[in-house]
Amino acid sequence: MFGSWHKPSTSSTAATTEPGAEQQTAQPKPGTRWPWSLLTGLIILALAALIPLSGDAATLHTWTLILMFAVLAQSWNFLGGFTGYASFGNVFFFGVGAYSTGLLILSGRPFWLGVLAGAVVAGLLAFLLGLPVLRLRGHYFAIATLGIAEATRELVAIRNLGGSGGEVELPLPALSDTTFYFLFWLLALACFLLTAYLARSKPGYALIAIRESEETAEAMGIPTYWYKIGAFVLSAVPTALAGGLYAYWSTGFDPPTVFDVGISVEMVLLTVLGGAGTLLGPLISAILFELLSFQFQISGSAFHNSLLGLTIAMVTIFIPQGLVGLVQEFLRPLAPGMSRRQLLVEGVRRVRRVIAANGV
Amino acid sequence: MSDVLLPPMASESVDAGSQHEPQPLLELRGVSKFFDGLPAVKQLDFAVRHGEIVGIIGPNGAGKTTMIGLVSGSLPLSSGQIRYRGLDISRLPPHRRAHLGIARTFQVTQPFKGLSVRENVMIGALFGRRGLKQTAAREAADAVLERVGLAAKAHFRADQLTVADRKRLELARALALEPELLLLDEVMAGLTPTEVEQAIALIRAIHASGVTVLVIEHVMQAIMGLSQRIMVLHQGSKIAEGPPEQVLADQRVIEAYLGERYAREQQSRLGAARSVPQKDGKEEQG
Ligand SMILES: Nc1ncnc2c1ncn2[C@@H]1O[C@H](COP(=O)(O)OP(=O)(O)OP(=O)(O)O)[C@@H](O)[C@H]1O
Ligand SMILES: [Mg+2]
Repeated sequence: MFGSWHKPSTSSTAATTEPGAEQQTAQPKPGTRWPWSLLTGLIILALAALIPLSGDAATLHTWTLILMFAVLAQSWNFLGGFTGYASFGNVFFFGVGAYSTGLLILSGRPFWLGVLAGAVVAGLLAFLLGLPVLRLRGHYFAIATLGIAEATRELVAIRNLGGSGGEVELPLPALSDTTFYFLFWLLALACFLLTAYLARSKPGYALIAIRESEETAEAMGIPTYWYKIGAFVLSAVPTALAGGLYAYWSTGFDPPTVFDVGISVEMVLLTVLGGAGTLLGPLISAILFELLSFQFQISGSAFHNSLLGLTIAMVTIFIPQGLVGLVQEFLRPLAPGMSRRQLLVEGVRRVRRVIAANGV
Repeated sequence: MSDVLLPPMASESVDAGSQHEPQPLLELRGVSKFFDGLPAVKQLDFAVRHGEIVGIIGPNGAGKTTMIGLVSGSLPLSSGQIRYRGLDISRLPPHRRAHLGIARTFQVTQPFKGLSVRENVMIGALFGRRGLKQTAAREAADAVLERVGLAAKAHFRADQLTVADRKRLELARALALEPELLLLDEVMAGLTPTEVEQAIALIRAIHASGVTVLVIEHVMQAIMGLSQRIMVLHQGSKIAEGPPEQVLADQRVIEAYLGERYAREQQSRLGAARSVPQKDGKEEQG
């Protein structure tokens, strides 16, 4: 059912269907796609589990970060993809996770306690922040979350909560790089399974209903406010876990960078690029995009950021349903009398429409 | 007449006395709604008894949809009180009112576009009064779709439906909640006369199964065929209420509503080529 999601405005059949002319659009029965998506995702993750066998430290490093972004994007999807509430402040939870872990390690506690504490604190903060900001609709919500993240970044830059000079420096971890890799892997797997559950469950339907029409959702008996807060918490916890692991793995961090809005933007991009609200989208695009950006050694550079921005713009304009949605549209059984060539023509026409609508 | 002078027994007996009249299922007391200072509903007093089927008519912009919004909770009240089964529901969020048994349709249909027709209806069964599990909810949805004549299109995505089918879907969604009070906002606009007949039969059947129904319609055939009682809104105020024949003979109703409609119908009959824009079906752009 998730698979079939894409923005109605871009649906080629609906737009051209005349009212009254009932067109039998070939559509797979709901639920036939989900098992395949689940299987594909599990295979991808199983293959990713083989990476440490390569024995190459650089590859392992790259893939550790890829899995971290897979966690961040999938977590963002819980709220942003399912309900359509785009949070630009999710990096806040990443920072909270990193910070809590850093502070507890510095105070002599075991690292896992720090990571767990970070997750609990992030969950609580998501709940408390959600109470006011999830009363806001659409853009106002996005702006409010952005504000929270930015304000926190400024705060940590000034206050220097960590220690002596700027950086929070942690002792060398007692865990091997391979162990770290599998911790991130487990987290990515957990997020994937949670997404799969949401795509098929009653709570998942509530979240999707909110995205499709919040007013109707309420009228149908869904306590939308609490579901949104629940999704926000669900989104915050794995993000904080990833932040905590990241802090320990990288033996410390520079406070403002773990609260950098760029990380939020990346979560949004990866999800939207892959297909917001889809099961496979965030996972696949995290792997593809990060792999590409490491391949061209542009990770972290200014070019990386401009590429991000450009990609976001292109994706939201031309393929609002994301890569997964795009692929599905082409895999979809064709309506009677429609050839693949016509589908392509329709695609080109859509691009033209977008361009014309924007007066380019 | 001062309350203070009355002994406690006396005031209790007043309460007991009012129980002779059955308590209304729905009661609006001095309800007003302002949009940016402009009144859309003004000091409205109105009650519906259990098991009734009441028609609400009035010209465009009279405040009919606004009233539905106030009762279902989609719109917050500006002042007044709404009681349901004697309970003050004025401040309850819409989903709580749905759980109490109030279901509505939207005049400008707003289904869950990306989901299938069946999923749209299923969500009502999942989160409505009974809060069914998925398998049971799916079965309940199929039964409702059968009832409204959408069973063959259960797998369609909601945004692939025609206008008439979207209206059916609105009704199906509301029915899936298993309501006690059903608020229908122009579910027949845009239907052909045959379809209107079918819809009337369906709504009668729903009413016969014990559901209290409020029908807003511009289609007079439907209002006359269904309503036991009619309430007329004009500029946010109630200008008439009573049995259909009596209300339709009311001079103020003819002036405020029927006159306008008669004139419009006349006009469109005369100048069919010019095609007078109909304000009834707000729908279409969706
Ligand atoms: N959300 C809103 N914001 C501002 N004004 C509104 C809003 N909704 C309704 N109104 C105004 O309130 C008045 C009543 O509108 P309402 O939609 O309730 O009328 P109606 O009786 O349902 O009309 P129709 O027969 O055309 O559906 C109108 O003047 C309308 O412009
Ligand atoms: Mg209306």
